[in-house]
Amino acid sequence: MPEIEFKIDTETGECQTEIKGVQGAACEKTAQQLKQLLGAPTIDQKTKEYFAKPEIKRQVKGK
Amino acid sequence: MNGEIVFILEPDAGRVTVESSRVASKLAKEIERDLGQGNALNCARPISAFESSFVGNSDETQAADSDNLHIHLFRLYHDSAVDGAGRRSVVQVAGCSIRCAGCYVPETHERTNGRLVSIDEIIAEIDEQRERHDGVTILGGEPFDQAASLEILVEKLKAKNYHVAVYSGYTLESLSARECESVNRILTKIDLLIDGAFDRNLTKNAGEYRGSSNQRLIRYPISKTKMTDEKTESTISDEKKRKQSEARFNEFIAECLDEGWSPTKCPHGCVVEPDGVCPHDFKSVALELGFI
Repeated sequence: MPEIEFKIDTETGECQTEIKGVQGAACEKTAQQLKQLLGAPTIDQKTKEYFAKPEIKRQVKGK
Repeated sequence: MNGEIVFILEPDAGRVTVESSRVASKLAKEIERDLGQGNALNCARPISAFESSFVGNSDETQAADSDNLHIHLFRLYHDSAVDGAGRRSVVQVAGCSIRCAGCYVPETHERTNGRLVSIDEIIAEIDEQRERHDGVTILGGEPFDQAASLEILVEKLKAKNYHVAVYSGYTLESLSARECESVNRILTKIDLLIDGAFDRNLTKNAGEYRGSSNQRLIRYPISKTKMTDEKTESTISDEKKRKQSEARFNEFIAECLDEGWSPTKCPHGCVVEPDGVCPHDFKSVALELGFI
């Protein structure tokens, strides 16, 4: 079940947003829409679930 | 710990869930003014008024304690957002042999505070509320204190393809050391084990779904246990072995992320191109360390 979670720290005002249950391109699109609404995030990272997908193909580059 | 408000939007269901922690009552009233009167939701520290939760209709006098088709149930509730991934229906058993100091639910410690309820009755209630959950969580009390009944419950839930998570105050290692067939079979079937006794001194940054930071999320726990049941062992197919290996890999990644590693932050200290990953990607590291 797709969920968008907004976690607000009532003292610092910091808002942490997490998209859950939305896969692939749809997730990226939802994230873009949220960024348009809320502004650029200070930290932007994929969730554990994103990395845990076994079918993900990674591009490997050396140093 | 600062006050915190969490808004969870569910676009498909058109539902907003608001969870608050250490928030001034004035702020809570403002939210209620803007969003309307809410319905009480269960939380990590259950509210005392929980009248709508299911407690079953079985008559204790008709079922003996040794009957594995029944379980000592404290309550069954739905829509939990804190006891595992997604929305969960939660089977909370009565009776605990561990009784951690500072336990949030001491009322579940005595079996006599629950009722002996038919497992089929519990399954029927979960089936009926199928739309209200993504999976089922079994907690307590201590679920493994009723291992034979728990096995039947887990078996029936998995037969219906539910995602099943189980909490235990015992660690995976101590459960495996029991060399109990029921326990081993439970560990082969469940999707997630959250293990370890609650430690009230470790509540800070406990992590998702956990009460204290010593507790672990273990996906597909059988991959870390040694099977003692030959019959079960012989039925593990190559496909299952592949899934176990995959699960170990996924778990390894989760552990890496918990440690602050990421594909762009290699544990070997490599500097990584923004659009790529270093040669020591997770799979390489997992192989190197013998996780897969």
